[in-house]
Amino acid sequence: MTSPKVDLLLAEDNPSDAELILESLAGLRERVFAVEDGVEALDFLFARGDFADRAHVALPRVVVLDVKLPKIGGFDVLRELRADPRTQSLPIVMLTSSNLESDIARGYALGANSYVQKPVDFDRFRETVRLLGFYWLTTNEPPPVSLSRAEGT
Amino acid sequence: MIQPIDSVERVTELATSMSEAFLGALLGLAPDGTILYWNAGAEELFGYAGSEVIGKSVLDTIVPPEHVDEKRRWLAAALGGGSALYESVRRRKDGLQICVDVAVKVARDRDGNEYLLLNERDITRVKYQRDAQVLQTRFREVLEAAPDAIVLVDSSGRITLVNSEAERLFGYTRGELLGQLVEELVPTRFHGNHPSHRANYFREPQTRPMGIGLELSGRRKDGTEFPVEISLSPLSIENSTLAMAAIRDVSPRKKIEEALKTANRELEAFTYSVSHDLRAPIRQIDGFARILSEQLGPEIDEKVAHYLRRIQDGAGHMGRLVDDLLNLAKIGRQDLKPRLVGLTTVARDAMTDIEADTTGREIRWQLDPLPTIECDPGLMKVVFTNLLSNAVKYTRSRTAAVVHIGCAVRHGEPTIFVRDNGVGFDMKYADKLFGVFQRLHRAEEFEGTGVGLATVQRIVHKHGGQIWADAIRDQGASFYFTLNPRAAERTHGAV
Repeated sequence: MTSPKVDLLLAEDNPSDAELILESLAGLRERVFAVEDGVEALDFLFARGDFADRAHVALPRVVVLDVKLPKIGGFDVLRELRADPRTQSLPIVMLTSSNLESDIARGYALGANSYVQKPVDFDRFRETVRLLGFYWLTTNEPPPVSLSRAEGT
Repeated sequence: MIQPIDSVERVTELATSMSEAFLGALLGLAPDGTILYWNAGAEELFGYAGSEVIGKSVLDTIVPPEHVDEKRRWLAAALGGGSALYESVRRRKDGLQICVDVAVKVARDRDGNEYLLLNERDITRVKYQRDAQVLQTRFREVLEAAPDAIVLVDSSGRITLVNSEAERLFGYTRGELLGQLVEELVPTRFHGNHPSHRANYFREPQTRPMGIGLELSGRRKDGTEFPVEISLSPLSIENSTLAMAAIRDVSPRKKIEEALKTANRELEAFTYSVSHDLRAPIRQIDGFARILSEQLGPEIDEKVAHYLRRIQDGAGHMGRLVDDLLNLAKIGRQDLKPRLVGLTTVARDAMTDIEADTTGREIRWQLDPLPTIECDPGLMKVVFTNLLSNAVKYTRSRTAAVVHIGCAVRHGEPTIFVRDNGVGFDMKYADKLFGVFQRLHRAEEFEGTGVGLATVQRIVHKHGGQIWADAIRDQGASFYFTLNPRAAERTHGAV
């Protein structure tokens, strides 16, 4: 069901926020897949459970994680992804409402590639998300396939 | 005098015949001090078994080094009619010193060999009680006037004097404490090291707190423990030095500290939740209102456009409130990083930032030289930014706004002020100025969240300073503040 190639995996439990993010990503929307909790995010990336059919599909170019996610929190998802050789180089962006220094520090300590605070003001939010999508899906060079899952399983 | 081979046997015989008449410790010695007989009472009093000491000199066992003149006493006893009574000090096997009454008697066996029979009785407690009487008449008034429990201890670790507060705090009567080892008041788990700490103190007695950085506990008679703070000072009386321990029960303070910690943890959790969860719905309200107005396009009904703008304004204001409150909370928790800072530079930085936002307005800035003060430069920038932007905001109706930043000396302290010629405020409400969410002007007149001056006050207080304001309605306002980070360390550092 999700077999088509996905370039951006969005893990966001708040449906309104997910909608606003997708809205802001505008032209990139078809390349985005959204999940609602940490378990789904990990299943998607490791091709498990509902996403077993993705075993031979390449990893996305970037994963965008909210910090507060149900079941498995954003930081724990990040930790698991960094601990697995298949996903340890996968670009991960933390996208969250929190601008607490402790959260930012934790994100980087666990190996996030970027930490972005969701601005409260929608104009700035839209601009931020647009830039984020544009940067990671077009400007940034993803890690070579040999570093990704294709070679793993 | 030469001892026959069977002297042990003979003195034992002599001693046993007397033993009935004596209670307590009985020792039989050769005139040179070699122990020949040691009864069960002696074993109990000194902690040595007979087998450990028989054949050894009393001078190497129970007589402390500073009391070696004991030997002369025996000789005197021997010369003067064959018996004597005197007070002395003994060291037990565990190192503890005790006071004893000694009754010495010269005995002879059938061959005319002389032995010394010593009957010793522990009078430590009695002696301390007696000595305390003397001390008490001298120090009573000072001790009873002190708010703390006071316990005086001598170099052997025994309590020589206490005040009523000590009796109350530890639940013992004075009689029970005098002559007792001070370790009685210390929880058992600290007994191991306490005597050596005590010895160290008497080696270099000085006024100081006990156990710096450690959590100290006292032990009551009923075995319960309580947190204490103890300060020690040496007290010289006649030829000896006593340690005076002033002991304060800090359980009430500990309780408050605990409550404060809990409150802080809760506040932190609350802040975290606000930071994470409260922002999202605000953004969603703003976002969907914006998308809606875009969907409706340019032909949007005037009223609909107005309502949508109202929704977005509300969301925007709420967003600023949340940010300002989080900022205020953050400043409250953050540690001061003070260094010497030239305030002129800080004020000028804030001024430059604000000038960028006030193009088109005529503002006459006057910045006098400000002192160099020990303070946190980042936080001081927040202070100036808030005060200056307030000055700019409330002079908006003036064709020529004047903002004057200067320093005056008040009560010998440099006092920084920010003065404007704006709308001022009614001094009747001056006490509300620095409260969170307190606003003296309607939001339609002057925008704002009501958190700015509360933040400024928090920073000034963190620096041990004061902040106040005066104003005349329609003629301008002046804000004054002082900084004293050293005082701040003293008052805030403890918690």
